[in-house]
Amino acid sequence: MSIGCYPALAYPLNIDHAGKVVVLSNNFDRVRLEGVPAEVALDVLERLNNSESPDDDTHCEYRSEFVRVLKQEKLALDRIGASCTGIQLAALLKETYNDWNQQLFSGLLWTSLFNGTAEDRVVDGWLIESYHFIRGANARLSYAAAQASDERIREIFARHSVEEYNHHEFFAESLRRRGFDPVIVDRVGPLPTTRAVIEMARFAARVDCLAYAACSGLLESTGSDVEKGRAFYYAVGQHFDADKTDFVAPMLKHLELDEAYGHGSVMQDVFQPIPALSIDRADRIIQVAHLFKETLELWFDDISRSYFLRTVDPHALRRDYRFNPAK
Amino acid sequence: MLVLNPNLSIAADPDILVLEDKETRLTFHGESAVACKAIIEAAPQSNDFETIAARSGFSIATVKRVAELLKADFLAIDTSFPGDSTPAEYLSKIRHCAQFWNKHIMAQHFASRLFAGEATQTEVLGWGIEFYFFVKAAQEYMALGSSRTWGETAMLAPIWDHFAKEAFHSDIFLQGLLACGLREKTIRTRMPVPTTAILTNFLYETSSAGLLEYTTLFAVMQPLSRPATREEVKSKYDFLREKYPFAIGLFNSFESHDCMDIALEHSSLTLEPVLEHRGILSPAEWRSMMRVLEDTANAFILFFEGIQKYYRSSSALRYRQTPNAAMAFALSDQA
Repeated sequence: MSIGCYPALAYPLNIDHAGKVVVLSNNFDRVRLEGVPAEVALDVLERLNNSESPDDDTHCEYRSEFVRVLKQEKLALDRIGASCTGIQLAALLKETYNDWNQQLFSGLLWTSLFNGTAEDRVVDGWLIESYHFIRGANARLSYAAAQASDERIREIFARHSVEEYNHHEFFAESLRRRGFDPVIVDRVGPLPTTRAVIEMARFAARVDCLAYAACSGLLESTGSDVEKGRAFYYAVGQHFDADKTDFVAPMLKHLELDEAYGHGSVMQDVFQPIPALSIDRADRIIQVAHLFKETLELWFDDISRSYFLRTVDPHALRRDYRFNPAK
Repeated sequence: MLVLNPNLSIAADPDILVLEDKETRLTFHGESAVACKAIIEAAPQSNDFETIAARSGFSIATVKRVAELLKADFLAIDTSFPGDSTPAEYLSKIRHCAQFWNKHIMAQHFASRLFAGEATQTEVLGWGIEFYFFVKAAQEYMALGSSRTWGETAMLAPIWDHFAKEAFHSDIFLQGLLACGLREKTIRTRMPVPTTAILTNFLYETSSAGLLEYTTLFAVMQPLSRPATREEVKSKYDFLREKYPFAIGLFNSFESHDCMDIALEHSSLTLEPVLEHRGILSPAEWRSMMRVLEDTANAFILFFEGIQKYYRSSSALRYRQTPNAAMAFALSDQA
């Protein structure tokens, strides 16, 4: 059966199933499904999520009515065609990034950095892992260029790579100003989740160059709001720079350089000229981008957790991961 | 480098030092307590025993004596390059380190609860689903790791053979999940949780690094130096079947898979013929292997943490939303 035959669930759609009632929610609404047996509702949602027919031999009247209500409430959507344009998908990704960024940056790490409640050791950790991540652009962008099967897109990735490859130097300078030797930081290596973010981007590049472009677009969308970025770095400098090292200045320079390059529009540059994408491919692209966003969430949480538990020893040659805090 | 067990708890009084993990408790008194404490504090900043000795103010002989004590109970490992050694000597050291890291994985919260029979139904079945994805990933990372012909056939043939025998084992676990009432389409169409993808990406990347790195991966996954007996395997799964009666089908699959591994002698590592053919290793190769052992443990730790994080509600077994592009049309309609 073709994937286009059944309505698709609106995204995001969360299910809360405690007791006999199923509650559906998205960013705007919360719907209690009182009139449908929970088991039937779950079965229909499971099937639609699998791109299967929602029908079964049981509870036929509930099933069709439930699907009708889902569509009426815009919690399920008819798939209109077997393909979409690059412009359509880029617009969807841009809209989705807004939601995702809201989720990503409302977590403990970013709020505590912005409002000054983070421990100094977490600020150190954030800086160290940011350095590893930016250095990791070489593992992401040049790999994506190498994997891209489309010559036009490969050229965009290659240019992006060349414009980013040495930006770790800004973060290395920030590290030095904060008392860390980048050589030792290199030697200890990143947190496993920092590495995981880089490897997830590489996974995306293997799956499809457009999946990589969708992940890269999410990253660039966070940096392209320069005013917000400036306000953030200003706040971090105010809260966490008692020694007046101005360690945020190099990162601010990096932000401004990225703005000058116009990296915020790379995703659109990749997608816009594409006349048609199969819906299966479009689905896969957004699925991989979603997995990438989930990995970023884990990464941010892990920085908070790992560095909260222990002050960074600037001379240590290795780190313990998930150690006993009583040690 | 002397690497201490990350799960170690250390309690120090002026005259007594107690080192403890889940299985072992060592108590040092007087001068030996002072020495051990100084050595433990110097270890993270030191690359070798000479530096530990210099930093701690104790002789190299004392450092080595303390290290041997700690190593005997897996409270520490020595990852320093063993120099010119035989393949058997390299392997013995690698096995010790692999067991150390495997114990670190199993000491984590969820792994401990799971194998003690204390996990929830959703967690157990969620673990089964994610384990299926992990085993299925052999079709990527083992395919990649075994896709090498540069070198002697006697060294490579066991590696090709390993992949050929593992390639379709995910079907065994899929059948186990179906026996627990999960739907095949739901399992096949869902995305793994991100922590499982982190593990499989790590395995893929390490498999591409080199033959030593690829074959070292399996040391942590198969840390036993002798194969488990069928009785030991049965006893392990009898316990889990008793604790988790809703997952009998899944544990039957695990048991039959483990018994296949016994028959295929998977406790012997494909690393062994690689070491035999390599001869003397370089310090860089050794460091890389030590790094793979630790990184493999960290990737599995994240894998287990993900089960606990993403399988809280029972609906998680049936529904992990697969994002789709249908909204693209709705948005362009609005425009």
